[in-house]
Amino acid sequence: MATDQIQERFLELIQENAGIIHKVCHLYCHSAQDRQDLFQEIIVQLWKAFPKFRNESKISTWMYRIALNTAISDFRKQQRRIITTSELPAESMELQEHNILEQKERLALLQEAVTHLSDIEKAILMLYLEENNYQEMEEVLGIGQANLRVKINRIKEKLRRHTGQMQ
Amino acid sequence: MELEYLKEAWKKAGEVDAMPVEEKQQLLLLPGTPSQSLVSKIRRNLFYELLIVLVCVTAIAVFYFVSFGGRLQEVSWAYILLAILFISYFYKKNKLLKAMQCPACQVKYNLSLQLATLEKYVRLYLIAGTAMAPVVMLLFYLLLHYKHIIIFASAYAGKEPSAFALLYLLITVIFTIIFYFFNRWYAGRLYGRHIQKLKNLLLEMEE
Repeated sequence: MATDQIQERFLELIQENAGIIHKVCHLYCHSAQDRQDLFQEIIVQLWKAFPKFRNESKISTWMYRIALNTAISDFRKQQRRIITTSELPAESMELQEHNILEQKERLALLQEAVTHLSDIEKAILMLYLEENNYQEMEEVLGIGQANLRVKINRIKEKLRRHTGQMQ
Repeated sequence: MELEYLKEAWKKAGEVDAMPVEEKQQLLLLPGTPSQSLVSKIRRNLFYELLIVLVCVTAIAVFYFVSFGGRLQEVSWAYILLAILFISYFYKKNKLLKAMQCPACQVKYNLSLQLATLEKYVRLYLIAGTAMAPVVMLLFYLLLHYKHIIIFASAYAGKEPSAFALLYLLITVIFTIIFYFFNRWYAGRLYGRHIQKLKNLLLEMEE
């Protein structure tokens, strides 16, 4: 396949599945700059891995793996700071005054909820919220299904506990 | 907050705050940008390190080949030997770095791979860094011995060659021990935190 065609195909793929990348960025980064950096890094990793993609797994599984691997094992992320709702930047506050108030609030709540989760728990929660079944979650993460069930219950419990604290 | 509400918020997460890079042309430029992952950065630094070493060794080798009427060209050969050892060290490190990541693999497998390879990398760093002291000292000893170069004349004064050799050996051992502890501390400072993080992640996945 010619380079232009590969690029075209890659671009289509990214555009069709951009939601996955955006969601991973939102889950693991809380500042716009960090999200931008992570987004770029995921695209670079996807592009590097693209020639080896052989349709053996679903495209979404392949993208989840690369996006999560990049987000979790990214060294720089260690210095990233978690921002809670109470300290959301002024930019977010301004946005709240506009029409997208509700969406931003939901995102802030989502970010607040995942603040207390570990990187692995975030990945599990993401796949759960995306309505992947246990088989698909195992394919992405490499964690056994029985173990996943236990972890999901723990995550739910953790979220309930922290939600209680927030209210 | 109910999980159902979270699910709804989650669905919106992919829609809001759309990044401008989604523009077709901008998106096409992204794959060409250099990766900012630590492995990529280490590989780039390693390459620059190799270039600097090769430039310095070439300059030193040329200097000793042409200076002093060519009487000290053994020094040049010693540096060339060190450069060859460094190239093989570079090759091994680069090979390990290339094998360190498998982004398209399962997350757990990728983390295990990264941990195992990073530990090998640190071991290589420690061994090579420590071995550098006796190798350099040995090369200098050979030069001193065969070229009859006298440095630190007081160290020779009134000593039998065997006593000098023993003193030299003692100094080499001390240097090697210092190098070992320094390298261990430095490797821990560079990679220790990440190794611990990988261990914790894997432990969490397994428990």
